[in-house]
Amino acid sequence: MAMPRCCTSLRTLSVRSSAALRVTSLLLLAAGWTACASPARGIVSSPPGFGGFPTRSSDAELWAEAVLYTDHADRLGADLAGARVLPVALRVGTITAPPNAEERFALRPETLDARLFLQDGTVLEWTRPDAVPARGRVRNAATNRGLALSLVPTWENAEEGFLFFTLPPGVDVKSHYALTARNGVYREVDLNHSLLCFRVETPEGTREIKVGVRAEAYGGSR
Amino acid sequence: MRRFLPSTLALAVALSGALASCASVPPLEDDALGFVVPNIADESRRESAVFRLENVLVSTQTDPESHAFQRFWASYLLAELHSAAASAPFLTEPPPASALVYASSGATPSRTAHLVAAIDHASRARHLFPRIANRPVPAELESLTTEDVQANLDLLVATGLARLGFQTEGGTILANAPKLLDPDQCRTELARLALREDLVPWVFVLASDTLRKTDELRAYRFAVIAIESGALPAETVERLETWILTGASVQFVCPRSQTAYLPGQRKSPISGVAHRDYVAVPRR
Repeated sequence: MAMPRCCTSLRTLSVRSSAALRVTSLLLLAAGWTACASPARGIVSSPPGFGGFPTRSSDAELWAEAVLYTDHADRLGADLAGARVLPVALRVGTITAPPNAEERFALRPETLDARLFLQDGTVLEWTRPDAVPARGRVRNAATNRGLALSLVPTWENAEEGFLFFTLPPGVDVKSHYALTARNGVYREVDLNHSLLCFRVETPEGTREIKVGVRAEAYGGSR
Repeated sequence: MRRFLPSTLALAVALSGALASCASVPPLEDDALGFVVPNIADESRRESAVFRLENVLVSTQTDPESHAFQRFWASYLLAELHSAAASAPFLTEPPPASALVYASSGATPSRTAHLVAAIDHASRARHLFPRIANRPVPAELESLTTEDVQANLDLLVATGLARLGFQTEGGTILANAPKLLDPDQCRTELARLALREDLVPWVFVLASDTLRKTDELRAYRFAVIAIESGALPAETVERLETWILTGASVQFVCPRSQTAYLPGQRKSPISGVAHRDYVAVPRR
């Protein structure tokens, strides 16, 4: 069985340069907050020299890839920023070939327990697509493009779907950066350095899968 | 971005710093830390220690060049604090969905959040290390040498990745530490580095994983030492035993009785030879 073609199907675009203006506004917003909030201290910036967590899953039988599309509105057909939701695309499939491999694992909403860990330890909680706080086109985009929670197919047959993470108070996102606030300390974090965790049902119980997130701009082709 | 971000960051942080004047600290020209070194082992004060050290990073953000020494040590200690706190977390995450069925429980302690934060801070410290490599270790931390500090940072990242389930990536960091890949020298070297005791079995796991492709007998010995520590999660032990029993290209047997490795045992039931003294033979 062929190994997944990690990082080859989408060409990573120059998201960093296009994000610069967004970061400016984000940081200036933080400065404004600093003036208004109490206690207020300032910003700890993202450490350079950290490549992020491995973008292959931590599991030997399941392969997973998690992508944060910095211009997700193009891909989803709606901008979820207003709903204070961060969409992360996930593709999960089996990479071993025991008999009935595609029937051994399942993703279920009751046991998924998806979490997005930002690099400073801030945790974003998964919300079901039908619970995304929005209406009309945005709600439809969430429900139509949410990750299929069912039996896990083989990697070749696996399709990408979105997990939606609620932005708690004190967390804001622009492009592939987020600004978090804890104890009055604002941190600029790079979403490329985030870790996605979720659970898969197996015949022996649930198993936690971890995979590093990579940010990409959606180039319009795949 | 690299050309643009520093200026925008500097602008925002300068504005932020000006507005929050209480955050500013004068540059420290000498090798003084300017803050109290926390006792990593004091579980009850880890959260407040993290709070204080994060303030050091914030208050030195406006002039990081002058404060590289303070920023390095604050990051190093933050990495140590979060790594230790992963065993007794104060950061939280939402409760698992299954818990909500039985009770409306609140947030639960998050080991993963601490490990992620530990790797983040250790990465900052590793980035800053070349700037402080020629400067003396602060008096408060004089039991360490500069080389020890660098090795400890590597181990904090490597064991952090291993504890998250990324053993392969953690092992890559270990590959440049020959003493840690020798079963006869590893424990002595870890004691010299004063690595926290709860991290030691994870180094054995990483060493085992790293050696699998080059020296299966040494990989086996590290796996046995790791398993016998009794301090690893069940899934990690299972993964190591699966490799011993079916993953290795050779079989590990008692040199006297030829009995194979038995999970759950520490020695051959026939000869009494310890598992760690088994030898490798062609798989039958």
